[in-house]
Amino acid sequence: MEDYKIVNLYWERSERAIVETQNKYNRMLHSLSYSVLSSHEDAEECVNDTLLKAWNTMPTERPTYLGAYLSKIIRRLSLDRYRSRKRQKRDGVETALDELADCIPSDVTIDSEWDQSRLTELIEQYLKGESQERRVMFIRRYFFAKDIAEIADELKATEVKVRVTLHRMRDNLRALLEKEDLL
Amino acid sequence: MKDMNKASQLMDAIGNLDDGLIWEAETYRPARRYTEARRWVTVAASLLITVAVILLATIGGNLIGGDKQSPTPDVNEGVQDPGQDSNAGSNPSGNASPVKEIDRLLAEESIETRKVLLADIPYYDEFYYIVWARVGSDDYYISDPINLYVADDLVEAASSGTYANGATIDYYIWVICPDGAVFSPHLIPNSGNIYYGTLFDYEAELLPSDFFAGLLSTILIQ
Repeated sequence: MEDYKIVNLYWERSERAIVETQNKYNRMLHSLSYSVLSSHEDAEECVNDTLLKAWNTMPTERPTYLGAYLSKIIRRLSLDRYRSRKRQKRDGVETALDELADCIPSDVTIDSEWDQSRLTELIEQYLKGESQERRVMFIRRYFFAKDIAEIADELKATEVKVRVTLHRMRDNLRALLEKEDLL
Repeated sequence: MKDMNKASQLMDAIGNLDDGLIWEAETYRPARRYTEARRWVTVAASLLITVAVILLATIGGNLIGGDKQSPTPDVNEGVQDPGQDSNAGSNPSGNASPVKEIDRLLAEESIETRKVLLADIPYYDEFYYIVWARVGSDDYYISDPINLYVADDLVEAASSGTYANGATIDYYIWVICPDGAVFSPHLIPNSGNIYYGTLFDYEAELLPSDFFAGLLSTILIQ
């Protein structure tokens, strides 16, 4: 079922919205959450919380891309749960965090909501200037927390190429953030 | 020491990216690339070459292809990479295989000024490097820092080899990346064959291609 039809069901307060959402997005949502939390039970709870949040926010929200909308919700919920449990997992989000640690210049602090939204804007600006493949690599790694091997397989590239590309992109992003005033 | 709080903030900022970008990343599927077609061309070319060799052998001609270590470069001869500079893959000595060409080049470039101690290899520099050593030797040699524009081609070229099928090599070759990753054009490019901050011995799984040989020549003879 197309996204706009599912969103309409939410607006009509039809419980079929939940069923259709699960049919279309359950696997993707579970996979994203599992990448962060490494636990099927926790991932399942996050999926349920996401569906509840979707029910509570539509209306008034009317997202164009329902998958992206739900992905953001579950990602936020999963990261919050990950931080509160301080789980140490070398792959997935822990390694992704490690990789991102060098991206923000040391003399920059991100204190306010304005800073946070400006940072998002800059990252968007940077990504939109990159090729589609590189953009997809970056978002699959740092939004969806997928492993290098998984990304390489999906994009029919070598793991070396994915690692090298992501490294270059982090360097370029850092250079951009150094140029911009984030304070 | 890495600032994980900033990393976390960056992670949050990425979480607020435009829905369109997220949707694009979720739904993107790579187009079937020319490599699929090239594989079939390679198979067809190998069949043609095999038939030609048998015919020539039958009528008493000389066998083509000389070097047992690299039968496949003859198969790949004439199969061009789209977008590849045709000069990059050519062999200056005409019929020499890429393996022989690489060995000749590395022997010539194994000079005193290129010698490097293991402890001095720059793993976390901002550049790429090629390091090599003759198998069985403790002498290591290093290229000049590699231009970033060449680095992309280098990574592609290093992954473009053909199966070694048990062939032995005379030189170990390693590519050093700025993040400390080390890989070899002699090894299948999967995560098990990537090391960090160290060189390593190996048995060749791949034999480098004309593309890599040409690029190596460009890098070392600047």
